[in-house]
Amino acid sequence: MHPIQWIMLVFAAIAEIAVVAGFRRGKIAAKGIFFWTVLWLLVGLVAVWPDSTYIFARWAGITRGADLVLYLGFLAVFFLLFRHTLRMEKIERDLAALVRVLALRDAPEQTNQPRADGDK
Amino acid sequence: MTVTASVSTVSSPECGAGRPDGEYILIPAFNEAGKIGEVIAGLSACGYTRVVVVDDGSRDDTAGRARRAGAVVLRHPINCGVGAATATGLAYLSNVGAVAAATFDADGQHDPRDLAAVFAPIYDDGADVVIGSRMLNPEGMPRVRRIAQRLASWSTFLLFGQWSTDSQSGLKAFSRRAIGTIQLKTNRYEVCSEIIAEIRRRKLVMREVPVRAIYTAYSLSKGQGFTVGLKTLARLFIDRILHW
Repeated sequence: MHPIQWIMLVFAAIAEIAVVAGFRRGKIAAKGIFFWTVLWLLVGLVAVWPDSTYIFARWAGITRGADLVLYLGFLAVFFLLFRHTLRMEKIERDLAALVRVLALRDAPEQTNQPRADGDK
Repeated sequence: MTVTASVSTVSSPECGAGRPDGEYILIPAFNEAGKIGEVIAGLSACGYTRVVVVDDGSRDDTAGRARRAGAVVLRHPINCGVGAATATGLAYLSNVGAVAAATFDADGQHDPRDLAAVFAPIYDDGADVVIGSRMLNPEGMPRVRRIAQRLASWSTFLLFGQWSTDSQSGLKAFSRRAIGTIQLKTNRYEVCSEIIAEIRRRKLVMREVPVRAIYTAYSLSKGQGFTVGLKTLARLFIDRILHW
């Protein structure tokens, strides 16, 4: 195996150990560990057996296996970014809802006749 | 189409006292200490004495100045955005049983003398939401802003199916029904388009009246610039895709 294959294999192994540790600490959900485990197993497979990418590349109509991996990598990054954006959006909305509760709780005594001219 | 949306041509009368009980002005504000007192004083001079300011986590003395000017002040402990502040204000107005309310920008862009015309279709014409449209009276409006407003209105129409000549206007009046019905989820400037979408979704009656925007160096520095406008558009598209 070439050095790059060893680097990819070790990286995938470390990443998978981190995923399992995250799952044990309750930071990664069951469907999360499935997704990440499949992903890092695929990375390990490509590292050990690079020619395997040719099979999928030919099937997808791409000449080189490395190109297929690159394209899939880009797609994965875009997918993760999109997912991250959605989560951020949800957190922001939840935060705004909480802030609203606090603002309404601390609102001045509710009256139908607040006067903009103060105590007159 | 079930939504009634037409353009009224109510002219802008001069100020006058004796506004109906339960009529409120809602001002979302962020870092407007330099202007908020003047804006509230202008409203008060025009007879609009029931003013609610939602201070959206300002780092300056916006809340203090608004309170000293006589407004009821609600405070967001952190900055959440104009949409979140508007939603907080509407929730408060619903709680106090407001009969009508108008949103008003804190940067001095709006003329209090336009408010009577904006409120009129609520009382006289059964309208639920009245848009104070700058595009029906575009005199003095910078060309870039005019183009941006047209783009925003068309985008809103394509995404939500409801036409408004000025979807991004900050000067809008709401009936009691609209105050209690409209549910806002977006936090930032996309709230303007969300209100237009809610009008259609809740089958509310919409009217538009011409208003005059006051463009100063200060008011132009606030609000949606080009970059913020693009971000707003992107957020609207994402929101539409998610809630198709």
